[in-house]
Amino acid sequence: MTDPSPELLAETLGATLEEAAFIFAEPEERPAPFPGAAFEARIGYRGPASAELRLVADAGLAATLAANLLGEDEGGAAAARSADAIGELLNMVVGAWVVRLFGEDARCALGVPRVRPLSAAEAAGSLAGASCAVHLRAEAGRRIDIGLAPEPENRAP
Amino acid sequence: MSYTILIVDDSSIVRTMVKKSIGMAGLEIGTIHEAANGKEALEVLSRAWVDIVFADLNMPEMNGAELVERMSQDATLVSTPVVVVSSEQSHAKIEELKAKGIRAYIKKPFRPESFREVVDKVLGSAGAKGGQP
Repeated sequence: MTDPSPELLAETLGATLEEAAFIFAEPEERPAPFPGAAFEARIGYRGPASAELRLVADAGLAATLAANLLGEDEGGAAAARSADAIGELLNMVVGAWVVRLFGEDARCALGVPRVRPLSAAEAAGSLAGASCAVHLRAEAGRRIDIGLAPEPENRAP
Repeated sequence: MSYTILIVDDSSIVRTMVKKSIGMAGLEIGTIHEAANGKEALEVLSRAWVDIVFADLNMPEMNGAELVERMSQDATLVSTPVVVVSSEQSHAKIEELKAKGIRAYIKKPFRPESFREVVDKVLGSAGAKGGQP
């Protein structure tokens, strides 16, 4: 079993963004504030250890993600599916994350992503409870954060 | 010969991605049905002939593993090929699903080419059965 770390989170998210949507993002220690609206996604997992992954992304980045996943031009109808795109991104990240932590032979129960819109102020504090978090910057300086938090009680993954 | 497809995923964006990938696989598609979970999928399967099912695993209401289980217990559905499309990467889980009869597994994120290979493999072997009866 590998210990979770901000570097492993960054690597997992970065690799998934690149493979799924051709979006390149690098860790940034001192990120600029979210400029406006954002989306937060959460997904739980249970295995040799249990936790919840949380992801917060700039709304513009979410729209680009949706367009790239669908193979459509940015600024079109895909933007309406930004929340869905963020949820699916986190779904793909958690699949890769548990393999990196526990190996390919471990049995894990993965949850269903829950997504909600956030204001810039809400986004700034969204990962406050995370035990391990990292900020990434994608093209055009757009921000995406990911963190690991204890799994909420009484919530099935 | 055109095929009837059922795509099962709680994400509408993934259902669209799968539709596009199947189209790019060169499969002649007659009808595409969609369902957001296993329960909805069974409702579709109860009223429509389906040549192949592409199903996610982690969905609310009824997940993909349970859908596969229910189809294997139904004499009218047991021979309908199911391909799982999921972010799940556990070897143990995939082997368990293969033992329950899924024909193939496509990992998310996927490339459209993956669907071409799977469609050739799955519908190629069921070619005599494929298409609307």
